[in-house]
Amino acid sequence: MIQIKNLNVTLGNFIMKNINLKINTGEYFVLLGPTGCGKTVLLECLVGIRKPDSGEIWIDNENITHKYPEERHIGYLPQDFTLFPNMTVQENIEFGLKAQKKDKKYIQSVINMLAESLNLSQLLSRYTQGLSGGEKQRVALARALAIEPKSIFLDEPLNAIDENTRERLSYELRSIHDKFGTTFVHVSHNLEEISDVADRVGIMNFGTLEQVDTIQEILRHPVNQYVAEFTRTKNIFPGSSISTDDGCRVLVNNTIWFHTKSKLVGNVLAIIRPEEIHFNKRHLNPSELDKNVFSGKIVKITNKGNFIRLEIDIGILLTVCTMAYIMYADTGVQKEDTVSVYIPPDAVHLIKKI
Amino acid sequence: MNYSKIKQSVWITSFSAFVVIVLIAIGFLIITNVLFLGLSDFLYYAGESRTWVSFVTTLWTTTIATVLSMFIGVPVGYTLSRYKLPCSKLMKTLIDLPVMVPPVATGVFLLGVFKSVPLVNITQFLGIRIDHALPGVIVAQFTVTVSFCIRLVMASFDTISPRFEAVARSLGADLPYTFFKVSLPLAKNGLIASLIIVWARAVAEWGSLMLFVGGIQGRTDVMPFAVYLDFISGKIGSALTMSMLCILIAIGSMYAVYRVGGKTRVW
Amino acid sequence: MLYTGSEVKHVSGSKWFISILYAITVLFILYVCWLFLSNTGHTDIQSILQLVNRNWFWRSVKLSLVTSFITTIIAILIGIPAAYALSRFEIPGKTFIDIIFASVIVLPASSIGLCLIVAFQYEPVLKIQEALGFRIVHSLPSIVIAQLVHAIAFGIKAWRVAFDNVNPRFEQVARTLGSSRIRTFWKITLPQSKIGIIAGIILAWTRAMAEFGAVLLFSSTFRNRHISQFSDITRFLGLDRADILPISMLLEIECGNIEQGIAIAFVLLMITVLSVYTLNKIGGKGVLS
Repeated sequence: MIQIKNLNVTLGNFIMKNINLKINTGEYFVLLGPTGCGKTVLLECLVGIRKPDSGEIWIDNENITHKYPEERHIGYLPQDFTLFPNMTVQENIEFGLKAQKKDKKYIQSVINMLAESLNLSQLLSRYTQGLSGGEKQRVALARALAIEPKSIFLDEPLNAIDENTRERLSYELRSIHDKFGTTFVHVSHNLEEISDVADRVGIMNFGTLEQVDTIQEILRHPVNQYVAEFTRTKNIFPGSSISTDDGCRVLVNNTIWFHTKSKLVGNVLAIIRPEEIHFNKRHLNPSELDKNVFSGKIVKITNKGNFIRLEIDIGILLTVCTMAYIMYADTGVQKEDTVSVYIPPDAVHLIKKI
Repeated sequence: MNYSKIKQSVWITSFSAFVVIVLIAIGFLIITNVLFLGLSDFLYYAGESRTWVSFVTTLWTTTIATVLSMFIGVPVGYTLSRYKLPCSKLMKTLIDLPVMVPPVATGVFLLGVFKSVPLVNITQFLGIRIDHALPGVIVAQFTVTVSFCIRLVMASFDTISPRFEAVARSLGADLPYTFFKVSLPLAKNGLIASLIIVWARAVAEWGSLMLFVGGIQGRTDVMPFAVYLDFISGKIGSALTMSMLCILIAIGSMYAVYRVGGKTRVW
Repeated sequence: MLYTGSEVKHVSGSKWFISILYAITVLFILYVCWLFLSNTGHTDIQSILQLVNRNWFWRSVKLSLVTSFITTIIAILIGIPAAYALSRFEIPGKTFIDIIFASVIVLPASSIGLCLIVAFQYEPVLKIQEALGFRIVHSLPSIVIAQLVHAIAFGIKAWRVAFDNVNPRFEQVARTLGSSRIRTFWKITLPQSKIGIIAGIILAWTRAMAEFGAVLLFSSTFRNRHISQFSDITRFLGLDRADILPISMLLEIECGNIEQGIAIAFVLLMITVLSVYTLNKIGGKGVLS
């Protein structure tokens, strides 16, 4: 288990304040944040190439805050993997073991094991220049895994890799993680890139850790406006809420009442997940309008390739829905159609307005 | 050819003309010397023992000076590249000084150093002579080239990303192991190029020898010095031959730097 | 606050290894300090005062400054366009040119001096000089020619690095916006490479000031020549019977005036300290190496 306690780092104008984080053994943890938010700085503190001003870092009940990188028993994969260009793949992999003066038989057995399980047998005698992105990633992982680290830290490993291979490589990362069971800490700025690999995600703002949870929870219940905006939530409406029997009612734009199950009274932001909005082509009479059922007009249909996005004008607000193309075709709606929209009270999430 | 193409070629030609001017000037210097000397005279004087003695003296003194320079240059260059010294600008100025001060002044300073306490006592006690003797040649060559060497080595290490070292460290290699197994091999080409440049610079050193060592014919006159001595004593042929040899060494070593340097441009 | 991503440089580690690195560095710096400071014992205020009161000293300072400035200006006028051409255009035989220019830097000063003498005694060149009624060798203008060789070689190297550091894309963008080549050069390329160009100028000037060997051979000394050997304009400017500072120092020491020679050496040292400190301060990257 990795524990970060009250970590503070100052770097010129950049200040990272009071970071507290627990990462479980065997977990695939992702630090997510925009460029320049300090996630790499945090990773560098964990690896030991940057000194925090105060605070502690523990790995498995051992305080490693002031230890050199070579004493931490960790793996480090920087951007573009920095494979040693003057060594062959095999020499790269055995570098750590040789530095630790392990005996030859042991080194050979580790290499055989890694070469087989990471599919590197054909590459062992090659130099690293001509390797593809995926091969480089596997070699870098093999090199890190060779010393049986307690955890592996990856700094934007998929950054320099083109869109098409990225998905395959992130899948590969996850499968290697599952095979070896090592703790992975992965830094990224791209939500799509890590959404299928992460067990848990920590969202970073500039110098602070905003929310740590599973990706599903973060998408459904962002703790604040920053997280909601970073995860590109579409429907964020300012309003004021009053309490009801089973939750709240939010008045948005002085015209529309949303019912919700979350309990937060006062000036709030109402967040509605686009995927959970239902709509129907059947036109409803005003008398039929129930709780959270609205009548609206489709004003824009955007084809995003693998999904369709609709923007529906209910009263004054623009709502956004996303759906697969086949489902969209089934509904048979077109631009300018009038539809009825239902928003389940579960789908409305309230956060405090800053 | 359309109008803009003409403009383009006029633009390129007018700038390149300046390169050609410099090239012609250098070519003119060398070619007039070659014509003046002639091949037969060159071969005659190149076979003279005077030339050979001077050449051999140059060779071994500069080699020792270069090795000494590298022994200082590699650790200091690495330190400057990777760590931040306190008052780094002042420190760097001090380090750059010996190569930038007029070499003849460096020679005077060296002379002064070996005439003052404690070095004068040490050399007397050991019964050796540094100034006006062969060891002085090496000391002077070393002093003048070492700053140059530090700068070059620093530049070679600067091209190596510290990430390589960070990764090596994370794999359990300590700092010395990382330095010898990762940093040095990665900077290898740059270091070899630096070594050649430093050696060529040492071969060219003359100003600081002028007052510190003096030219004792057949003993301390390394080639640049022998060129001067032979010139003022009227042996133009011998002087020109050795001057030619110096030019050949300079061009040859720069060609070697080019071959070794590959991508890492040193000049 | 935005973290702008400074590169990790310092990874501390085993104390003894770092200590050795620092120790060697400090030792070397001490050696340099000691090299210069221990010489203060060989001179004193009195000889400095004596030196300052001598006529030829101020004429020498003036001569050094005038010649080195002229040298630097010529180096700038030829060197900057040449460096730009080398940095930007596909010149045939560029590798060859690079090697030749680099080898000038590591050419012995005595070779340069000798080459210059022979070149200017070459028949056709001699005839041109006779036709003009002027001999270059051992004349005052020859100082500039002797200084120019090293100064321009160092200058071109530095300016080339300066131009290489400007991304050509800026120039391409400026051109697409309708800016002419000359305007682009003045408004985009020069301002962006300003620091490197200034560093190159300082370097070329320092080199010109420091040039000794080539001047000694090519121009010889002037102090002991008769005043009638100097032209009216030289006398009017007060540049007659004077040598550039490094040669003045050599003459003083050879005459046995060690104290005054060392005083001149300190003058030269001060000039160098100033220019090298300026170079480090403005941070002309890659200029010194």
